[in-house]
Amino acid sequence: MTKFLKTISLFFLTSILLIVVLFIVTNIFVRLNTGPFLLESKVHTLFIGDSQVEYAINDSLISGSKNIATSSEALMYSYYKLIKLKELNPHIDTVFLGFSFHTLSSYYDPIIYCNHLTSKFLYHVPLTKQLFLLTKTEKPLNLFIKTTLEEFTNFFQGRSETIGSFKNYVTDVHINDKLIYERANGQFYSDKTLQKFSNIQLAYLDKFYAYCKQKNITLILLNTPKHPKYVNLVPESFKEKYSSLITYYSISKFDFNSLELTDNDYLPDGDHLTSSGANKASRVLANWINN
Amino acid sequence: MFFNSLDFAIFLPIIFVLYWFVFNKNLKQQNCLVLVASYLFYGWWDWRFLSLILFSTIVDYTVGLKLSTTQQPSKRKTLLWISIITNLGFLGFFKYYNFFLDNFISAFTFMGYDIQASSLNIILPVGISFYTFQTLSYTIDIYRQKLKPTKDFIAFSTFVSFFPQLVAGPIERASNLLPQFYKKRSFDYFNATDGLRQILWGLFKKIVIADNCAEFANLIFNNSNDYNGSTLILGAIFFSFQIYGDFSGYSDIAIGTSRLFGFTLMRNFAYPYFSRDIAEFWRRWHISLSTWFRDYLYIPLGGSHGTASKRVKNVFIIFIVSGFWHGANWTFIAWGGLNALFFLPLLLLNKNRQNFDIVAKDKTIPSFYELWQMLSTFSMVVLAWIFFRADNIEHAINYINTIFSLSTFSIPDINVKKQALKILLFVGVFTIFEWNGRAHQYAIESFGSKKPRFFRWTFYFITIFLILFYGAQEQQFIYFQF
Repeated sequence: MTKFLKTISLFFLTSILLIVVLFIVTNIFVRLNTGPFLLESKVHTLFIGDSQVEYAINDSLISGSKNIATSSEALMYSYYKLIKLKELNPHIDTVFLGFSFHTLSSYYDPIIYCNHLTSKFLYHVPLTKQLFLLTKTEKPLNLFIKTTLEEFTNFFQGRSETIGSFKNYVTDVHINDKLIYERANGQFYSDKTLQKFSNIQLAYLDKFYAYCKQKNITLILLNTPKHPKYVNLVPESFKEKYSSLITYYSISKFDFNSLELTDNDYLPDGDHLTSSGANKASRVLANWINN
Repeated sequence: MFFNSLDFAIFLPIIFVLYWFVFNKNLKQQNCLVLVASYLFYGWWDWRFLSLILFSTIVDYTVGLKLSTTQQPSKRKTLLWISIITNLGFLGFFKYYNFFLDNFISAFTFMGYDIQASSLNIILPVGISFYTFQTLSYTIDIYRQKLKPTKDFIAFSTFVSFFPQLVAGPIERASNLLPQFYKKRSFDYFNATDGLRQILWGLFKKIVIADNCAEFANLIFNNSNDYNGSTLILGAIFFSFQIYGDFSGYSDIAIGTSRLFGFTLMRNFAYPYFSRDIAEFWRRWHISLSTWFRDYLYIPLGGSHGTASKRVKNVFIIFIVSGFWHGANWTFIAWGGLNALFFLPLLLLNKNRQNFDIVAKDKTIPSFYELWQMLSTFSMVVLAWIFFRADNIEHAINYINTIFSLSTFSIPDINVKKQALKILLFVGVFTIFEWNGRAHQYAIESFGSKKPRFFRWTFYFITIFLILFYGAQEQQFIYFQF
């Protein structure tokens, strides 16, 4: 039995050692993989956010800008992404942060720690946060192995999943009342009870704001176009909270008030844009920036 | 609790420590611990069905004791029937009630009678087919006076519910497992490390091979109308490896776990896909069930003795019952029937008792003839698996029709092919390991003594890495549904 216990202990200790070494080496590799984070010197404006921004802003129509939004990206990840990008690209001076009513909802909380997001951003947050994220997942070892392998692949291919881009090839769709209802219901209600405000999202909005101020980055909140039917379903408390935050931080906001869109410019869920909608919105935004 | 779950990864070391360090002084206490652990293991899934196991245990324990004191044949027969009716009654109700009801309704409707009967929403208790057969073997063996009944209720209860093999076998015989609860178990280093290695290989088979193959097998079988014949062949091959990896993987984990506690379970799989004929396949696939049917059904029916028509009848009975054991669906019956058809020529030509030894013994590669034999047997097995996997008979027939159409000569669907290449590579490497290890109980058994530690551990780490990499999506074992 003693021999068995010794062998098993040695095997487990070796496994732990291997995991630690792999963890450190991967962190070094991710830090060395700067290529995807280096922006052209003419790029001084960033669009950061989740799929709403990813779908709405065609950066090819806005000179000197880059859309780096990715699907479901929570503010925590946007915050760490901005820090990394600013370190490598000191010329960044303006950031449009996707910030809509749903951004405030606690429906986002489980998304922040879901496997998809955690694996994408694990090695792109500080070390202590990495360990915290691993404790939040159901299968940390599985996630660790999967993410590590993906980051090694990214390193050798010189790419990164964390840097997004404008992706919208959707045309010929139309809003759908049922999907709009389901979308809004899912974002603002849980079992017919109104969702709370997300403390994590609010905390990172605060951090984001402080960081931009410290680095002299102009922060502008971007409420991407939403279909009026969707906006009508947004609870008043969320609209009020949204306005109060703008006032509290005295941040500039751009919400496309003057933009006129048709039903075909929205995806069926009413809170994303189609390709045509994105082009219209991006032109309006480009005019606003230029003026 | 599933073997491939985090719960089991925590449960097993706790029970191991309690077993060898806390309850090791007293055999009775050790058995009690295994019993409690087994009930906990089963109750983790649904504690309500523990009452079924307990009831079966009490009935068979009592019947066993009564049989030993009763000499009158009619009374002995009555006692045996009490055990059979109780066990098969539970099995019949939970597994086959809705099947029979639906078929009766269909039959009456076909004859022009409109009968109203609503099916029940019955949950199939996990492992009921396995532990039912295990306890039945106990009373039948006592009835046949091949086994003496036990007076130790704890030992008997533990035999019925022994957690490593409770839910998906191997279906143990009382004559093999029960005596192991009577004598003190001593820890054996080689047995324990080999058990761990077998668990690792079982997890690899389940998580890396079976679950990956399942992804494509499901995709292809669920959309079989959209694919050409060559893609459907690929789907059937994927399912063949899925079911083998899944079920033999479970058996490896069960046997390996038992070895950690000093128990020896019977072998359940012996590289069935390297069989040279269908009879050999059935000696190597799900051995514990095949031998159960052989001993308790086929031989009592007359086995391979008697007239040709009787032998044919016996073969069909055993294969069809075996198919029906797997599930309440005509597809399983068809699967059994097809295997009987494949078996029949061997039986009638008296060639069903050849190929007992391992294929290409002491050789690295098989001869062309052996390769041809293996491939033709594998093809028959794959064809039969289509019935096993299909949703219904019509689905299976359409699937096979497409395979035997001209579309089989076209290239497999590009989307499936691209992703499937990776899995085929895994299956290829896995097959090489299985081939190299075919002389052993499980493929990597020889690693224990023949390879240096560095090599062994590197192999283990790579295997664990693959298990963790592919283990994010926990999937149930196929045989749990049986």
